[in-house]
Amino acid sequence: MNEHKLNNELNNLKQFKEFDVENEWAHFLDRVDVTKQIESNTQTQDSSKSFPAKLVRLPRYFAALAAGLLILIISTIAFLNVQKEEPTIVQETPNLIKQLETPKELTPPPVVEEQEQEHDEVQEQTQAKEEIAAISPVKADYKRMRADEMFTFEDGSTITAIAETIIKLPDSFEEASDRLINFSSGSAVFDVAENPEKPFKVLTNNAGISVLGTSFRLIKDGFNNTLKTLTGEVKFYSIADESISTIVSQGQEFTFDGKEMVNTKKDIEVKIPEEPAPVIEKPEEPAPVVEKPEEPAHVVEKPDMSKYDLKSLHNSWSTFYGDFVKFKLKDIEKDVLNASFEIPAAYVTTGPGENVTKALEILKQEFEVDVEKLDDCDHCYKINSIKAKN
Amino acid sequence: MAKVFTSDLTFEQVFKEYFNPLVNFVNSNIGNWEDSREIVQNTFMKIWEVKDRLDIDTSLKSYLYQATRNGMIDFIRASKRSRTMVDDLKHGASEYDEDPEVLDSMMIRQEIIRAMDTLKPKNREIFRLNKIEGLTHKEIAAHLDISVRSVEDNVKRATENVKEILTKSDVFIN
Repeated sequence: MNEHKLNNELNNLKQFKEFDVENEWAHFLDRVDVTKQIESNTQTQDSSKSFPAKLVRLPRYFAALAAGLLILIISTIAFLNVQKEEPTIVQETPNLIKQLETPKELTPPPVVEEQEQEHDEVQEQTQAKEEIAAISPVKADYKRMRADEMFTFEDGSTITAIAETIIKLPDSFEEASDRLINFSSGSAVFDVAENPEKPFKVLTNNAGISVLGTSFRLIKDGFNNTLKTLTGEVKFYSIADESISTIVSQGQEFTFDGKEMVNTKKDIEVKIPEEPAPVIEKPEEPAPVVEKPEEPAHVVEKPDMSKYDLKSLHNSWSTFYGDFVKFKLKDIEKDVLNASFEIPAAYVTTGPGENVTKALEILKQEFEVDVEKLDDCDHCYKINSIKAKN
Repeated sequence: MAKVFTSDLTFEQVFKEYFNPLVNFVNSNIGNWEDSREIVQNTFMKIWEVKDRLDIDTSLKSYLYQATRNGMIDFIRASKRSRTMVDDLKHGASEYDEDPEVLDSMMIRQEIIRAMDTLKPKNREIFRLNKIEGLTHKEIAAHLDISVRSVEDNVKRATENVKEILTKSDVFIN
């Protein structure tokens, strides 16, 4: 045994982070399933007339035929038992619904009610199964969108993948009552054309998003769904329990991990209440965004840092999303991430730790920042106060 | 050609054994836990696709290390990160290819964390506060309302126990 090495690792243990491997393995298997589905769909489409494809379908034909025969036999026996005096009752019952509907004309009222209930239950179960099938990412026709790939629907709505995204895109919204998208994983920006009659819905394995017309960004990673509304308002809810829902307004960002809905920008304290915010002084002036309509919303967004008391910029939390870099701000005292902001990627071309230093320089250009460098970290800063420049 | 994954060493076992060390290795280079997780997940996805015809001429650990490292460089390129950072990683390739020492370190840390489960609750808590949370003996004593001497004894005892367990572990043999 290497005693020196062990002592060394004991001293570096605080840098080690342990993820729940069972969760990670489950996440991995989900991804394998989705990938298999994509490959399977591609193969089926490519070789729909080939002999092996037909062979694959054969068991389904036999199953359908067997089910039909079984229903016919059961219904025939049932009718013969109930109405022996009426031999003409024996007739073709091509499907389960017909089988359930036919006896209600021949049986006493209470039985009819029971059968109607049964019929309703069958319909409800079928409907529930359809809903589950719509939600289940494994059973649908998923496609892989590569980073920067854009898909435009017939109504003008667009989806732009920021990172590789696995998603189910319907051929058309025409016949459906809503515009339903299934989102398995990845990161994408949705720009939704307004249509009050057909809500635009995005479903992940555990969360739903419903809008009439707006734009938003969705990041799906494992159990986590991170939604940021770029324009308008978006309903963000749990599929398992719709009482867990929220309206995400423009500029807000919420994360749902399958259990809790968390506003990632909500927990920040107001540091300088005595100084009025500049935006309140000039409410009639048009927003700067209007002056640059050609730029994408997420690029022109600027954080209103004047409202916040930011404790630190932590070097572990910068993430690239194509055109912009997102920084998460860590409250050292509480050891939680409680704010984030974005700056254009063009400004950030250095290593991850240096990015934080660069971000701080950008902050200093626009805000008065009282900052303290932390001794034990090359690119960590504690922000004691921050306010807008006059 | 001998199969890498067999009933004695399944893909699932390898995934669960190496996932955290690999994520920690990637994070030590790119400084982002979420991206690190994604890179390691993607690496295992690629291995999964070829697992039945996988033929490696190094140890499994070296192979995983190299595959993850390649995935990391691809990710950095795709993320439009700095050229300097990619070049740095390339520069380090030769010294890591033969001896994935970095991954060894991460695996030892994982074994230490696992060994902690065998410690008595109080012993484990003091060890955790000291080694993982980075609290000093004095801070732990104040936090738990016990003497500094007691903290020192507990840390010493826990360290000895962990070392003993790790001596028996095959993490140093590989």
